[in-house]
Amino acid sequence: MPEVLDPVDVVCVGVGWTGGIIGKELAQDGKQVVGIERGGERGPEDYLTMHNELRYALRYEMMQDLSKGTLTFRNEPNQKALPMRQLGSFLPGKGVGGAGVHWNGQTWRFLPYDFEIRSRTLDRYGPEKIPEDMQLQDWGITYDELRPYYREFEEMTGISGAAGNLNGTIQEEGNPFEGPRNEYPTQPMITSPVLGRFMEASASVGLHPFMAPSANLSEAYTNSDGVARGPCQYCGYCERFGCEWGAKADPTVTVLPSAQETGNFELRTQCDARRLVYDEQEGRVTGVKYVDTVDNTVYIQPAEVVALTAYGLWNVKLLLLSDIGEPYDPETGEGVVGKNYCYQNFGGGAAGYFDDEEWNLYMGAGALGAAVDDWNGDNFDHTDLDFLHGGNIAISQTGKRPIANNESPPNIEKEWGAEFKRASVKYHNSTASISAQGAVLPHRTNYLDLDPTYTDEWGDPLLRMTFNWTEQDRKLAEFEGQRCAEIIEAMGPTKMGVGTEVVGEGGNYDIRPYQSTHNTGGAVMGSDPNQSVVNSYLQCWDAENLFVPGASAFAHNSGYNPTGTVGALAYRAADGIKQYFKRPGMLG
Amino acid sequence: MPEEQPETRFDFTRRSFLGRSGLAGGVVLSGHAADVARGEVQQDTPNGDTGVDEDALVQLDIDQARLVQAMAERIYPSDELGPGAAELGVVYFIDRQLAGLSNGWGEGANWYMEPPFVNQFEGATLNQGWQSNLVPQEAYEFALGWIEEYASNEFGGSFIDLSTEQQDELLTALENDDPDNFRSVKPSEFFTLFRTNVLEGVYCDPTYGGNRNMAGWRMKRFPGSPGALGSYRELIGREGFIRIPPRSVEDDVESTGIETGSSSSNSANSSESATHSHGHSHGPRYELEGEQKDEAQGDSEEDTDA
Repeated sequence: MPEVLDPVDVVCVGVGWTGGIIGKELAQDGKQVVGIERGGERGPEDYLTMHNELRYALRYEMMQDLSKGTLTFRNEPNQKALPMRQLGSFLPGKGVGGAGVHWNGQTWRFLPYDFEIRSRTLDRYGPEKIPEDMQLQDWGITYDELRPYYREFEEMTGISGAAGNLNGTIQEEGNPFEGPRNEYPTQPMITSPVLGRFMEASASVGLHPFMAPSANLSEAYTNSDGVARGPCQYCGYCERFGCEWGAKADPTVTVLPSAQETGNFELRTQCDARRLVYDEQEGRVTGVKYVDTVDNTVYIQPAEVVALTAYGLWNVKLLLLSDIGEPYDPETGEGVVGKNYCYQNFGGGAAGYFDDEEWNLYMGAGALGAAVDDWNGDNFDHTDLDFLHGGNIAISQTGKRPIANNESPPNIEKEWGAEFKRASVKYHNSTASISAQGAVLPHRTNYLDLDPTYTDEWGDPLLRMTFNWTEQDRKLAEFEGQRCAEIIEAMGPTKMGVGTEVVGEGGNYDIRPYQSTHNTGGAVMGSDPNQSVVNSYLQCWDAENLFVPGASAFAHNSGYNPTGTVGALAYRAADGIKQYFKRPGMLG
Repeated sequence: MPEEQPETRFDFTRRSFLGRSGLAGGVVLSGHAADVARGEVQQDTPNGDTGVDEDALVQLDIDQARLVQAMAERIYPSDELGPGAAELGVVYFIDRQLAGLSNGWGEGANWYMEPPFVNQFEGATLNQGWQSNLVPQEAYEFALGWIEEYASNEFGGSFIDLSTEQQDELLTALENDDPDNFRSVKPSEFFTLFRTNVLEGVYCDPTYGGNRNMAGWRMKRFPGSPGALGSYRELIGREGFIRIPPRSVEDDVESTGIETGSSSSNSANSSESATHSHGHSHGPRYELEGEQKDEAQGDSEEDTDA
């Protein structure tokens, strides 16, 4: 029998960005908050000797241990799903701070278009523009409504950048396509020579380049919680590593110390949540059942409010295991939990090989980049195109490490042997690569449910992912690849390679090569309970005291990194929880 | 931007990490075996001698190791640019990886290895990733045997006795799934795994037994670690390539004064003698072209050190 603990006000299931933000906000509001985290504690002092590509970037020291649980995967519903036995395509984190510790720090706002994508597509192009199986939905919230929450996240983390649309006035140095915003808390990152070359080239072909927004911190910054962090050192070890300087915003150097300072936030590590305790009659969750994995004791932690703040995929798994909400059925289109799983399409890209250049590509920062947004969202006319949306095209100088990066110009016969060695050595510091971060729009047969065969360490079913690229994705990759090629060509390379096909063997999504840890959807937000799992406050339609923020709430995935929007939605949920304590019931 | 600077309640800007005890012990190095690799292998095998030292092997037997070494050298051959896989110590790297001495990788410690298994011979698609019931050390054990069997049947001898042209032909056959004597793991899957491991051994931190004398890094002009609390902030905006002599994470460990456990003294000795003639200074390690030499403090080590 599980031991039932004394009730608290709020339980956060998972302590990464979303759990950290909600934990801090509610603890500062005087609520008693418990954070349940299956990994261990960590902080900047643990990252001092982390400049080690093999151990951290390739043996995945900071990532989830799949031996305890994974997911199964197939491309199509008529295929047998098989376990993702080793990590590859995406890298969920483990430990306090979650993937928010090993991320790059590329922090974007989605476009106003994104939140109203269905309405705006119908308005501009008419109903024929949306293919039958594309389950395009509005998010139940507008950019203007989300804007103050974006600002809270950016000011807490100290995002570096230059506004391009300053409260409606277009600014030369920023992104002219973004929604209206205030100034960034800190100035843009330093423009390295290769980034400058990209910006000159893209301007020369009529595009609008700007320095990408960054959570790496361009200058010293103290946020309103009194958290002081120093500037980025451009050491080249961000993605898949922790930042020993504390310059890169992560939950362990921002929201978590602020939460713990209140005395109202209790962090329970090595504790694995197994169920939300759900009272379907009452439409409420009463608490969380979890295992302390150190001694295998099972507890139930009752709470007034539960915030499901795990990685997006595991949010969906816990909802399904707890029988909350109707599971999505791709045959009938009925049900909501597991619907609209989306990803990121990096099929369009180009690389230039420069015989007369050598850049300091070993230096860098996770969010040191320059970008153009001319071919993203609905920033260009799609009337004569056979796809929707687009992608942010960027060059990133994240610190080029030697094992994972082996350049092979297009004329190389094979990926090993003398010729390969010569090319990969010669061009290691002489290659400029850019890619479009393609949006992925929802499709009827791309979804999440529970696997009928495989189980995790507790004997629970694994999550099953059914996902493949669609015609939309293939056309988008082709278009974006051509746009990338135009920019690279303007950079004046000796030779160039162009990618115009989606990533994966046979043109199908492939679980092996790393693409991005941008798994979205499955518990999407919206204004209609028949179309969504949560409302615009991330409050669950089937359990009024359950809030489910995270990328699982994305109704589709845009052409940007997701964390800025994840952070904004977490602040929105925290606001919703505060309101709920004052006036219980469905918000809105 | 906030109007007034808020009061600082948590200072992550000037934290004194050095000398803290017990904090990073768990993330330092890969354990005793790395020390063994450095102490025995790197000292006993002079540069240029690419014979395999049997005493230094942990997982592979000497015949398997010779096969691995010969195959690795075809993936990443020695040439005018610098050493190949053999001279870089790739066989010792792979041996230790297979033994599970790095995050338990060779034993598949962090892999999901629950049945039922449906491998690629049984209908799994390549896109679904590794579906064999074999973990890396087992896959090597069997696949090396199947490769020798194939070499004998198709070329009439052991892989290591074939001409380089024949060796390349055989590796290409693996890549194309030509051999029909493999089970559980397809030849191309094993080839992909092997190629990846070779490149890891060429360019890993030398603490893992590969990238000897950091010669892999030197070829790519990669500086390794910027140092614990290292910085390129003053350099990132500069034009022109800045060559920085490479630095192992072991130097970072030593610079922090963190104990690495019972084998730490052994580790220190072996690293001194093996590769790090430039010591553990914190000064800049680079030299800027076109500037006064005295701006670049510390050593101005060139490619020929060690």
